Amino acid sequence: MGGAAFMGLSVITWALIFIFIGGAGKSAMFPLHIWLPDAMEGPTPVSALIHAATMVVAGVYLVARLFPVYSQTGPAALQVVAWVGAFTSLFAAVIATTQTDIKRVLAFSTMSQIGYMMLSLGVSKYGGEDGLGFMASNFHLFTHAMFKALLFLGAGAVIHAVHSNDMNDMGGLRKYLPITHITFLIACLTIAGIPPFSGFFSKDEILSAAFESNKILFGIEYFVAGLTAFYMFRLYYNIFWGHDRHYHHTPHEAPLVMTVPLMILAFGSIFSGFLPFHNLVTSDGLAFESHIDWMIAIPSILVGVLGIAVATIMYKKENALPDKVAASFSFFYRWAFKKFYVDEFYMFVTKKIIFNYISRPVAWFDRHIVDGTMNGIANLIVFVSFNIKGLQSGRVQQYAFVFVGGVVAMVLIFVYVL
Amino acid sequence: MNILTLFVVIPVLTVAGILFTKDLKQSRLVSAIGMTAQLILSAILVYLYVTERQAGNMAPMLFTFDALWFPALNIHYAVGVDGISVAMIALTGVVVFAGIFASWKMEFLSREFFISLILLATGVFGFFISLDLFTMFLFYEIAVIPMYLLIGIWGSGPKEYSAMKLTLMLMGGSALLMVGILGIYFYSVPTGGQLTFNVLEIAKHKIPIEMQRFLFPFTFVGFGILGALFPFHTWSPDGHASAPTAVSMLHAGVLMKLGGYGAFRVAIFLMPEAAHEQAWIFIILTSISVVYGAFGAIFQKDLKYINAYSSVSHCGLVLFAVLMMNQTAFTGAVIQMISHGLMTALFFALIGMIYGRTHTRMINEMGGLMKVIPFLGVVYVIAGLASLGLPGFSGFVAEMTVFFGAYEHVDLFHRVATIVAVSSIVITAVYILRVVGTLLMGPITDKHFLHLEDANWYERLSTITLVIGITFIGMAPLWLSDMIHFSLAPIIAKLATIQLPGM
Repeated sequence: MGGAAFMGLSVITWALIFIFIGGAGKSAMFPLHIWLPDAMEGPTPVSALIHAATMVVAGVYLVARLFPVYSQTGPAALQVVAWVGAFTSLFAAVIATTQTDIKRVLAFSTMSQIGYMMLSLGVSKYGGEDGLGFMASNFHLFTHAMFKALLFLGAGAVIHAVHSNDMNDMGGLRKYLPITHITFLIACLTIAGIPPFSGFFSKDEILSAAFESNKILFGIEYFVAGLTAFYMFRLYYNIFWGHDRHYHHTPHEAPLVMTVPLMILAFGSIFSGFLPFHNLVTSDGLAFESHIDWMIAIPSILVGVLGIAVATIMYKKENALPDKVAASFSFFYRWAFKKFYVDEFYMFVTKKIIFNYISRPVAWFDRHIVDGTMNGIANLIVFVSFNIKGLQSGRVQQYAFVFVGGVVAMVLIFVYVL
Repeated sequence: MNILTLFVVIPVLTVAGILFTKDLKQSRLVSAIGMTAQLILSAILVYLYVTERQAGNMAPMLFTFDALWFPALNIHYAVGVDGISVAMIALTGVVVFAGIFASWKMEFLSREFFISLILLATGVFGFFISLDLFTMFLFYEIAVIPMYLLIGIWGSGPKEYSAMKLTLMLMGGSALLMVGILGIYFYSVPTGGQLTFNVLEIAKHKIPIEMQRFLFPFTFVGFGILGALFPFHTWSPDGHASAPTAVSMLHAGVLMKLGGYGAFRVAIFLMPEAAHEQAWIFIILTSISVVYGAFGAIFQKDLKYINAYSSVSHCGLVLFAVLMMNQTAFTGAVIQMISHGLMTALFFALIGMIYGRTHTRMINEMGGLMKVIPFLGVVYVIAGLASLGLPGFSGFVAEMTVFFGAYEHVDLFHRVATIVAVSSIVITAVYILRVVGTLLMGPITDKHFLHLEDANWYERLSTITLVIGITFIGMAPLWLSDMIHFSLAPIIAKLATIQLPGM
């Protein structure tokens, strides 16, 4: 059974690809990602826990757990993992630059970062320094949990103060929510990959692993790093800078029970980068030496700073620049704003195709053809019965006729046929 | 008296007791006492069976009893149980118990209702304990005929039509079965010996293969009609929808399992060679059942029709597993019978309770019920999650085992059929979650629903009993699968003698 192949890939490779597809659904990889932005309707702590840090990385964990099998018996499957991861991170980052619901921005940001983790697993090999991608993926999983949970809880504090999710209803909140502001800023710097925060270390390792493996994948992720810095600071400036909106009541800082976790997570975001992950989590379980490759690190810091700079120019002080940019790329902007119509596509498939073209005919077929046959048989029997009962007419003349006719027929048969 | 015969005697005594009652209150009390006794007896039987096996008793059937009934044709009243029968008897005990309490408010002709219901139960219990084909057939008929009265008199909607269609189609199945059983009887022993109806005796010999090829379709389809084999399943949607609550619970929960059990115990056990040859036809039909039932359910707007199509899908899976003919798949088939029996009984009970409050079964007329009747809402969610195979409930255990067993066949045909059947998981999730979402979540659509009462004591008793069953099997399935596993030894041994290739 192991020797069989289908379309050039072995059975085990196909099995690993299917397992990855399962993990992709769980981790909101394209095209199974549409549930994640919609799940933001749930309460913010729920989002912080499961949609940022723990449940949503289950797919990454699955691939990482099976990594020895992936890397040694089905390496072609890792190609799928890498490209899906890279595409998803680009796709999500582009959409995130246009969204106005702050939790949606964070949802797409999560998708994008998980794309990084998948990519990192996909480009990794097994054993020692070749397993850099594996180590980096898990490292990023760890640091991402910190700063993404921080971002979601911070968003929760903001929503709690302003009673709205939309960033158009927010502005100038740094005066009213100082702790939230600082912790949120720390998280944004972390995700943008600015040293010495943890995001820099984990992202740098991923970029190194990608660079060694495939320059195109590296290029995509490099671009996404810049986009990430841009859209996160777009979010940051829109919430905390700019002029005050008409708030129902003066926004107040969240109570200590909500801000202490923010501070704890901020601490984690700042310092978890210094954990010697290469001693702790590696592809073959053995520690290896890992150091910062400044040839990769310096450009990645620069692209992060560039993203922050562009965001600062466009969003720190209110101006017409964002609208002008959106107008000049209007077609592309509209598509990104509508999340590339993937949701609409799914609705089309389920409502029009599955419901109308499959379910409805099945139900019709069942009711009219299968059941119709049963009813038809019953009707036939009733019809036959109806017509036969004419024989029991009670008219003696008819009985006599049948009797005599029957005798004549039998005589004829016996004499001439038999 | 033999403990197994008690399973038939207690219901008959209960019916006799109901004859002396005057009204609803008395008849339901007598029924409740009788069926509680039956449930306790089922628990005792499980305990006794497990203890006997642990003591080292290796006989294929336990607690046997045999009495010659009609010497000229060598018909015996022969009873005995193995692990599978014990499990099915336990299922029936639980579902009948829950059904009595779900019918606590049956005002119209209550005595007659409970009499018919318990007669039905008698037939089912008798079927599961029988070892003689004739006796088995007798009890099978006892289980089918009261359905006509129960649906035709106490039902709703097009009840006469549904009752007639259900009874006639099941009678058609019995006719096919009769051919099969008689055929088996006449070829039960090699030439010279005395013909017998006893299942264990017949299994010792091999029925000539030419006769098997002819008899297997008759027997399998005969049982399959009751087990919702496509395309003979159409009695099920109308039948279940028109039937009163307890009748639907019993029918979908237990009676449809007579089909699966019979297909396994009679058709495949006694004619394995023909089963192996002809399995492919029926695998195609059952795979269609599984997916077709699920797609059909998506389209329905009436709660009972959704559940009826769901039953077609799940019972189709039982027959699908039985046709896979290996140990894992058989174990999965039995667990699926029990799991689905409990789940669908729970669903129909809940639908009856919801209908009794809202007076509608159309899902688009209801909404936001979770806020109004939270107990029933939560139990509905549990039932739904169990139905779509969430781990922790019995549905997952059953489906996993079935698919593992089915996947053990390496050839392309079986693999494709398995993948088709597996796809039903997703489709099931669609219609279940859609109903749960529309019915329970969201805004309350009709202001009349704001004052609905939540479940009262007998409704809670009925539903909690079933939920306990589902959860217990889901969390701790090994006691059940071990019980079944051991009892599969005779049939697996018989299958091994026919050298099935590709297993």
